[in-house]
Amino acid sequence: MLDNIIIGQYLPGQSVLHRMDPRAKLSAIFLYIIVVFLANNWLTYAIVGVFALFTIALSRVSLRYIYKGMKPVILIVLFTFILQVLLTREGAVLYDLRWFKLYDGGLRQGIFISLRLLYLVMVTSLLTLTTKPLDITDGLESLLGPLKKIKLPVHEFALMMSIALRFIPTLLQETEKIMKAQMARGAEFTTGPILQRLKAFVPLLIPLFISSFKRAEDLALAMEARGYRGGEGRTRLRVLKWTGKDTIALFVLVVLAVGLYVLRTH
Amino acid sequence: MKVKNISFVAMFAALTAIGAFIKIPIPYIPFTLQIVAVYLSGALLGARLGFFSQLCYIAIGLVGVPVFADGGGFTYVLKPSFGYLLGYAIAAFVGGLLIHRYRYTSFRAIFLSNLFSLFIVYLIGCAWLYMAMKWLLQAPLSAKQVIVTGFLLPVPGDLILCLFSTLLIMKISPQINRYLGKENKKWAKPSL
Repeated sequence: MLDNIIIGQYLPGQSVLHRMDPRAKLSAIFLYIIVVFLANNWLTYAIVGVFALFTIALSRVSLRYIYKGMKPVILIVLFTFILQVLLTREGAVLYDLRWFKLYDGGLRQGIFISLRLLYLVMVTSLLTLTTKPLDITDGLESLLGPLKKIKLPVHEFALMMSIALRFIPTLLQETEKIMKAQMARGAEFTTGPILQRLKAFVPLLIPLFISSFKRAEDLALAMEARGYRGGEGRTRLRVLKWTGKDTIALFVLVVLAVGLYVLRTH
Repeated sequence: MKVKNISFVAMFAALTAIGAFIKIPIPYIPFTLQIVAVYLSGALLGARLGFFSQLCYIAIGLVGVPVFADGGGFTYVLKPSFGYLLGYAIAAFVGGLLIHRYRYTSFRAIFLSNLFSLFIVYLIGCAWLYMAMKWLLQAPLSAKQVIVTGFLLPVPGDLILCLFSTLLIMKISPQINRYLGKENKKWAKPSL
């Protein structure tokens, strides 16, 4: 559980996708989302499908993990498909039961929308499967850097994310410790009526919140003592490197977007 | 932004994640203590920092750390329930604004401002649910269905937590003033 949280969904690997610059991956995902929404006929959906499968093959992530990432949305996809088929009344009747008619248009609409969701989920889940959360944070900070000009605290926000990530396991341990201490004093967290159980959480949450304030203050003091003065002119431990393959990946996506714009039904 | 504020915000983002991990199983809808951290972040840190802490929590979940109620990852944006998370951020802002601007200290005032934040969470959550169903999935729900599934089913548990959080705020806030720099430090008089 604890290790699981720090690395998130990341699966270590050495594939091309793993070695790409997080900035390139983020921009590519952004372009890909536009591409998916551009598709609106059989040909364009097929092209996007081939591209999605190609990216998955490139990542060398086993299909089991892709399926695991898709699981939460599969229900939604099925639900939409059924609703579309039931509710759309366009085109020729394909099949006629007395209480329900299957329309050509409804079936097509259902397939398209389910495919759109599946395509979106398949490739966007690759981002978190092949990139560490901290790398994504660094990439976002660098991509959103220009927003500092309009006084948005981009650097501070990225730092907050890294600190929060670091503290989740620590606070989990702390919670467990306080829970055990209170259980030793007779607190019941898992049994009894709901209100009583909530009441048992009061002596857990109060020490937890107050001790986290203390911890946060200690951290701030330690940072100041080591001379932290904000993002200006700060060097980094992890340096992002933009290489040829990143440029190529972005180029491929731009070509794909232009191609789909030409091929889609207008 | 002051270093202290950065670390407070980060800590509350982490606490929100802890809140989402603590699940209390009740029949029909499993509820978590996540919303408690939302009220507390607004009430204790203030509008701006509370808002940042919730935004930070959402961002951590989106980059793939499993801090949301069921997992994490960028694809969470596609879920019709994502609106509640956005609602939490706005609610922390509104709660903090009310409590700090008007210096609420009584139990009733804090409870009412929490109730208002809860209302905002549901307003944004239901609006997102409605829009996601309509445009993303193109399977529109009627306003009545949205209100039943998005509001009436989960609201009783949240009302209890609203009361519970008010109690926590009343107990915690006097003890953290020294961390927030609100208390005047009284030095011992030099005795010469």
